[in-house]
Amino acid sequence: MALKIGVLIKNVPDTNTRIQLKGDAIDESDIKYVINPYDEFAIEEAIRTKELWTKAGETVEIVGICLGPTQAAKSLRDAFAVGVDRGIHIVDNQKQAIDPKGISAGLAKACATENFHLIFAGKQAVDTDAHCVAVMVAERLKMSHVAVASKCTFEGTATVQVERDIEGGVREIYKVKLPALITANKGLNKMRLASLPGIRAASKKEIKEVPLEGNIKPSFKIANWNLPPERGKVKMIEGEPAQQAAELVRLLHEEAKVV
Amino acid sequence: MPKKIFILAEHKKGALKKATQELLGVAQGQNVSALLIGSEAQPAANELVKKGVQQVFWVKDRAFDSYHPEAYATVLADLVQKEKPELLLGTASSLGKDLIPKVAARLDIPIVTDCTEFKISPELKIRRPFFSGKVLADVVFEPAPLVCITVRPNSLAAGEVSSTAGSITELTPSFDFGASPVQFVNRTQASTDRPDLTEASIIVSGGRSLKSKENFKFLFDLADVIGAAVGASRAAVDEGLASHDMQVGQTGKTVNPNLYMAFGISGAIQHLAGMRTSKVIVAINKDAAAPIFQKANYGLVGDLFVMAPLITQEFKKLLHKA
Repeated sequence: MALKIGVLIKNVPDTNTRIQLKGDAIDESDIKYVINPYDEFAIEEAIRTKELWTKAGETVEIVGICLGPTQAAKSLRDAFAVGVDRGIHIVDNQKQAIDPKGISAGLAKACATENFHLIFAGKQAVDTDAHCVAVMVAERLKMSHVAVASKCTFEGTATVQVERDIEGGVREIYKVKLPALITANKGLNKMRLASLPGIRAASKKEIKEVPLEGNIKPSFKIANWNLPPERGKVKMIEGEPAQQAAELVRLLHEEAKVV
Repeated sequence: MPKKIFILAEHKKGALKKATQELLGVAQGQNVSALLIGSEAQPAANELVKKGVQQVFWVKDRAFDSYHPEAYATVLADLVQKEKPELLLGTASSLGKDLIPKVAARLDIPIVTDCTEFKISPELKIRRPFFSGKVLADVVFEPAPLVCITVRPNSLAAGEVSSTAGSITELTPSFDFGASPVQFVNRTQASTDRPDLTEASIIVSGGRSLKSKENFKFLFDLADVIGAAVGASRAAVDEGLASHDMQVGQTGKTVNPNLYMAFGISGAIQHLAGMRTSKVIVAINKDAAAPIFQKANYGLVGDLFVMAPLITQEFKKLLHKA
């Protein structure tokens, strides 16, 4: 039987996007959507793990799981081009799963039917920045997890040693028996570029569309979107370098009172 | 009527973290209990009690000193179920970002993470950044008996709950660490004594124009004089001038210091997103047209290799370290 690796993939605005408001909502007309950058590390780690296990004689399949509106399937296709084998798209055009509680419930439901041996996800998505959905998916699946991984070392298909980044440049190291879910930090790897045959194959790979199940409703609403307050006009400090330095330090001490 | 609040408290080598004191401040006048884990945590437990936390649950067992998701979640979820708070509160730290969501999922309760503005009374007011702070959202929970909230460090004023001291309850949870599929192996040593970027009140940050890894010494020297953490732009990290854990921005760390000093950082959207909540921003750049100046409080056009040592000298004079 094939070992299945799941990858949670979210379609998010590119980080170079300027977010603007239109009325009381976010203006989505000019946004370019891409695979969440942290999910790229998750995808690459899944592919490397498949390569490792395949070499050891296992049959391995990578399944991308994506929750979002119809157009979010684009990120699954992009993931197919680098080596993800097939996809499950939980279609949520009504935006019922907008909060960590609902999103994690929807994703966990879809994962449960696949019986994954291993799941990778990004540590957070760069749109909501909630940094909690993948951990919640693991808990809902009653699966072990290690979050914010910057190194994974597999011992066969049964165990993985994971290094997790915590505050102050410190790493916590865990040995985990699979099945488990691991969230990826920057530094874990760098996603390979899609090859031409990969891109050609991507359009033929299967995306199974499933509805959002389980009577999921938002547990909170956004009452207002606000653009961050603009700072006052910048105070430029002129003069010779030595004068500039002295004046800056004086202002920080006496005017801004931050030192 | 005061709300019943449960706080996941944190300490470092026994000292109560400032971020936890910020949670006490926002919970002023409420009915607060807290969980504290660690054999060295007695001083932090005493401080919580003194600052008006009515009941401090302290897990003293050494076996719990290192973070273990399952063991910690079992302790916290059991306590929450017993204590029945209306609000479970934690810091958006390495611990809080892992443990609070796990417990939220176990108990199937709503969660809002990484809030930057937060009030409990007279009613819950929650504001949190989306897209790394490119927009801020006012979040309103649908009615629920219990909700979870984590707060970004350095967003709220430190304070205390009340002047009425509480008491410490030692917990002796049982957890079979040996039988768990997750084993803690060890922890690497911190490579530096400098504060962490996400907790620092001052950050000195450098961009690609530092040109080499060695040149970051200019910033480290300055940082050590004023007790700052050192950050870097994505460009600097991608070119190998700085390590990944130093990256500030949308694919790095989101920071919230009182003072952010950007040396040779032009101000790409994704960098600005990660540091825009800084209270005071100083931009030092050769290029007078760099976008960072639009977001700064103080700007200085100049060569960072000349300016950084001069500014270091001035701070030394100010702080009598010269």
